[in-house]
Amino acid sequence: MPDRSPRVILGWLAGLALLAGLGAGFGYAPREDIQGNVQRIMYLHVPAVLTAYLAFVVTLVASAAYLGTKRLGWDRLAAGAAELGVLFMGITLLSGSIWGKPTWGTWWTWDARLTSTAVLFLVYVGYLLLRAAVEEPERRARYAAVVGILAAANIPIVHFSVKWWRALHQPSTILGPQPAPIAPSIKLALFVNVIAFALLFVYLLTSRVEVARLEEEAAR
Amino acid sequence: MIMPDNWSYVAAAYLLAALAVGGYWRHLGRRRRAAAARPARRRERAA
Amino acid sequence: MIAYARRAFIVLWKDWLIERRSKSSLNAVVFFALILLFLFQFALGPDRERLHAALPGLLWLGFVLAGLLGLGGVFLVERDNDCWEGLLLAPGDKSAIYVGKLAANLVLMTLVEAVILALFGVFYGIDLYAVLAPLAAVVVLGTIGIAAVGTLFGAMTAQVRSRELLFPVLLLPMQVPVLLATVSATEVVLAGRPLAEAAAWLTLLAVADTVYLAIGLLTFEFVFDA
Repeated sequence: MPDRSPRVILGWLAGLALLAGLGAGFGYAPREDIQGNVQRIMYLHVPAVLTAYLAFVVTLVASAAYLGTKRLGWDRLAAGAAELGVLFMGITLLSGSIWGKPTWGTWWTWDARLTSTAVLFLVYVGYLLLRAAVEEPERRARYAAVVGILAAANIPIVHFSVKWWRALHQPSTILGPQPAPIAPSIKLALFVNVIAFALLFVYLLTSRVEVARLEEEAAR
Repeated sequence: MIMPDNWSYVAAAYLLAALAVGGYWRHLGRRRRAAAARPARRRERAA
Repeated sequence: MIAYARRAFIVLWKDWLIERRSKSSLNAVVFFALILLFLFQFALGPDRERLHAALPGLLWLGFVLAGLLGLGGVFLVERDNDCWEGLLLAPGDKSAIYVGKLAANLVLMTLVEAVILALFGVFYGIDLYAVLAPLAAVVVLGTIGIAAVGTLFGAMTAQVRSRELLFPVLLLPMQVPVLLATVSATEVVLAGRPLAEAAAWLTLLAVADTVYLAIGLLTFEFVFDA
């Protein structure tokens, strides 16, 4: 009997949306004038970073909800979202680096956006390491929730500090990975990919939360 | 045209991302099967 | 309110007495700072220009590394002789303990920073006296930020295995904005330019301090447990 649970249907939906995203990014969207086809990395890079931020917002809300209710379900949600946020941040950093090599001529530059992404990546890796270091589920949930809230509150502070720091030390790059005026067709292709990544995120998150629940039940 | 096409960079970016997401997805699947198998083993031991 | 302040002060006073009698943290941290100073010199070589250009960064690197040693230990002293349980049994709002421990951390870090500054002045030949007041403002704002988060994480990691590794791994990325802001502001101050040029950085520090303190006060009760 084929599995028709909402999770599996969501998975198929996310897969189809990703295919549509690929079609939009490589078939529908035109070749960018200045950067050429390498600009198509954008349809991966931008949705990944937006999804990562969405994940960190979910972690914040779930962390606060856990401290309010002490229900472990919220903790599973916070943990899953943080893990996915780190995954998508990693994809953002990788794709940004690969994009930077042909456009900037270097794998890494301390550009404001790349730098704050890298800092947030490290912050949330710390969150995951803390989770791995605490054994008791209840205490792990409390500690992680506190770090989850603090890390999210830190996001705007990191953002502004890195932006000002860059403005201070180096002129902004003219040929950045994000071209300034965006053509409507590029915008549409980007939109399709953002939706696809959001679906992928929701699918992986529900999966991750369910697995954590199954594991806790099995351990009991 | 100012820049060459650099298709290899595009392919590398998408491939690495697919590997990362695919790897995570398979890791979740493994954990799910392991968690599903554990209560069964316990039931066997009880019987 | 008065009872709350009194409870916080008792925690601070207790830590102060322990530190004054054992001198365990302060001596080691000051010695560590001295070693750092030599290491910086060896890493950068004898070129005076280069050293002076890197000075604000080195200074804060010294503060943060010395802070890591001091901050991690403030809750560890409670683990001996069941002091932890005693603190837990103390009546009233748990955040008073946070305030007391934070104050103890601030005192310890300020002392260490004063020593580091004096050493920097002597060894690297900078006239600190002329810029003392604006420098103090930057140092105080930065130290509050580091200590506010460090106290919270210190209480957490004191209860966790592999804490020596986990504490810096949690604290350092979280403190990147504080480090960027303080280094940039210190650059302005040490160059002899007016503090107003660093107004944006000081504002950022003040906002960061407020956010960290608020979260620390609100969430400490969830961190401090048996």
